[in-house]
Amino acid sequence: MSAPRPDQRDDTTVQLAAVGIHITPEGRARARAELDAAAEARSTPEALAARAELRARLGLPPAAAA
Amino acid sequence: VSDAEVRLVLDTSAIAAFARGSIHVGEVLAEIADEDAVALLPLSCLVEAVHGQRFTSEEDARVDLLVGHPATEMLADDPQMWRSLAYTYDLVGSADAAAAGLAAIEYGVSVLSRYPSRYAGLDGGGRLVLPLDE
Repeated sequence: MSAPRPDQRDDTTVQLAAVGIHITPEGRARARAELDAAAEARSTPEALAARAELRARLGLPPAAAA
Repeated sequence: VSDAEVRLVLDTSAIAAFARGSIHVGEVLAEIADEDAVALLPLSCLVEAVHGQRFTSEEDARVDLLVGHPATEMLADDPQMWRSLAYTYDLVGSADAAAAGLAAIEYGVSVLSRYPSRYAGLDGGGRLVLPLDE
C-alpha cells in the first residue's frame, strides 16, 4: 500500500502564505476559469490552423497530434 | 522538461510580479499544482527578472519558492532551435520574450504576462497570452 500523497493544493496555499502571498478560493476559481478559457480558445479549428501556420513560419516542426 | 503536462509559460514580467508578491500569479500556480501540471520558467526570463534587482529577503524567498516548486520547471533554450528563436526575437523584440513566446508555441500553451502587446506578432488568434493583473 502506497503512502498517502501530500495534498498539493494545501501545500501550495501554505507555501504561498509563508512568503506573504495569501490566495483565496475565489481567486483560485478565477485563475481556473482563465486557464480553461485560454485552453479552449487555443483549441478552436481557427486557432489550431493559425498556430500551425506560425509554427511553420518559425521553422518549428508540426505539432504532434493530441 | 519532465513528463508532467505543461499548462503555461511565465515570462519575465510574471516572474518579477511573483517576486513582488503577485496574488494572481500565486493563484495560477496553485491551480496548476492542483492538476499535477507545470508552468515553464524560461531561463532567460528568470535571469532578466532577477538581474539588477535588490530584492528583499522576502522577495528572494518568493523567487526560491517559484523555482523550487514542483509545479514549475526551468526551461533552457534548445541549441537546435536557435534559428526559430532568432525569428521569434524578430517578432517580439527581446531574447527573453522570444524564449517565452517560442516555448508557448512549442508546447501549445499560453504565456502569462503583464505585457500582452509584446507578443502581438505571435498571436494568430488563439489567445497566446494570458494577461496578468496589475
